[in-house]
Amino acid sequence: MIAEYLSIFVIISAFVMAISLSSLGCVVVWQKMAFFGSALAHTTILGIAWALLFSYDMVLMVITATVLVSILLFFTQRIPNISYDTILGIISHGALAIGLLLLSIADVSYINLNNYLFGDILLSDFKSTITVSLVMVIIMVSYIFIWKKLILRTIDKDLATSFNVPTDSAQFIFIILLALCIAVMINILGLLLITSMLLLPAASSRIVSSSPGIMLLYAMIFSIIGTFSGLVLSIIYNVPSSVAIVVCSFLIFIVLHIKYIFIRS
Amino acid sequence: MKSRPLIVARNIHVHKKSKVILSDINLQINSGEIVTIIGPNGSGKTTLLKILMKLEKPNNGKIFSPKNLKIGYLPQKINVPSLLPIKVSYFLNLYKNKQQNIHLHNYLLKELKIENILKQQITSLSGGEIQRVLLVRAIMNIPRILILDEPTSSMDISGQNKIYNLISQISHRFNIAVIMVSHDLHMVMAKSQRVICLNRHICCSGTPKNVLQHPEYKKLFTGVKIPDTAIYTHKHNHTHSITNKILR
Repeated sequence: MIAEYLSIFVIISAFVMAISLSSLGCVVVWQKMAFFGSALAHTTILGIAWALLFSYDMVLMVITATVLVSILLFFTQRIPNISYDTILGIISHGALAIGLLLLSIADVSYINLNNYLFGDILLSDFKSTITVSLVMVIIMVSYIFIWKKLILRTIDKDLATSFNVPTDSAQFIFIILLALCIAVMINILGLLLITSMLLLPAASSRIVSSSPGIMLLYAMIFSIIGTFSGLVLSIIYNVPSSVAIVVCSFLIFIVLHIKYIFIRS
Repeated sequence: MKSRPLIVARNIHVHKKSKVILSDINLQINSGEIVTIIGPNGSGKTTLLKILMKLEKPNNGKIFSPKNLKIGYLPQKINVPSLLPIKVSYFLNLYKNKQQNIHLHNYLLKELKIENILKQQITSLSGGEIQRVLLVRAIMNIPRILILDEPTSSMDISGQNKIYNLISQISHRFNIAVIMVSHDLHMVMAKSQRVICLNRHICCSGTPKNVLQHPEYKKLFTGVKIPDTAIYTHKHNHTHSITNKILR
């Protein structure tokens, strides 16, 4: 029964999703960008609505939406007296509401909104698998060049600049990678759950890591374990895959931190 | 050794939201000299350092410094997020470059007692330990200029004295200029060739002795007791006449 659902495309997509999101997720948790990730995830609905309303290519429109918003956020000056996380929360839910409004006006009753909110990895086909794989390759190649700069920036931006290593361009590339990755993975995990796969594997791996590289490695491992166990369980018990994947990753986090949750030091 | 200007600041003016942070700053830092900037809290010391390093842009005025000037910067504090696992040795390795002198590196680790905390996580260190690690980081690549923002604020008196001795010794040995910021008046005085008294503008500047006598300085730090203990261990290379002129 499992083999029936698990086509080669589903397996490759799951693997690619696990690797891409966990590797970006490490930097997301270091730089406290959880809200940023969720704002980008929610803006995908603007691209989805746009594509459905004017029958454009869905993937292209979603990428356009997230990349534009990420560039906007990168260059926007701080608004006085409003903290950055509040701005992100406003953009995040504002975009979600506008997107849902557009979809309800357009009367696109033939689409299943759940597919966008929660995704469906079992719908992966040749085209979507090639797209996500390509994005993973772009992320891995870029990481070779920006990884060290991202660590230096996480430690202290001024310290890096005074060491003659400017980090702004690396940070910009990272944000574009994040936008790109979220845009193409939205069909797999859905816009409501995708942020969790950025955060959970990275947060789980912190407790067993002593260096940034090891943390990256463990995040990938936990992400793959969570993804595949969730995928298999979802097929066996006939529940949505993305939900099962997130629950499994969440359980990994809980098990690793059980002594902190139940035992007071 | 011939001294050349490393950083020249001309008519620096900085304001944030119509509040004046710095005005009319003119100063020059020459190679190999030790300059201390003192001033009360909120007098613009850290802002001035960032402007000298071109990390921030002044609203007016200009900074002249050689391209790719090698700077060893020690910030007042760094906020390494607790989610980033990073050992002291890994941290120091990140900032290593080709010019690094391995003997100096090992000497610093020993002198500053870093050897036994190399395997510890940065986020688990105490304030004083972090400052010592940051000092090693700043010095180890032998920069042309060291820029130290309150380098000993988390240390006890004997620790501070040791650090100042080490800094002046290394500055002398490798001809490194030093700009040090402090609100700690008496300690820094001894090692500096020049003291700049800052309170949004340069109140007064000169040799430590001269600044001590300056009315602006006295006005700024009235009520502050300046101890004359064994901390002043340096030997004068000049004497002063009755009118406080320097006699060499």
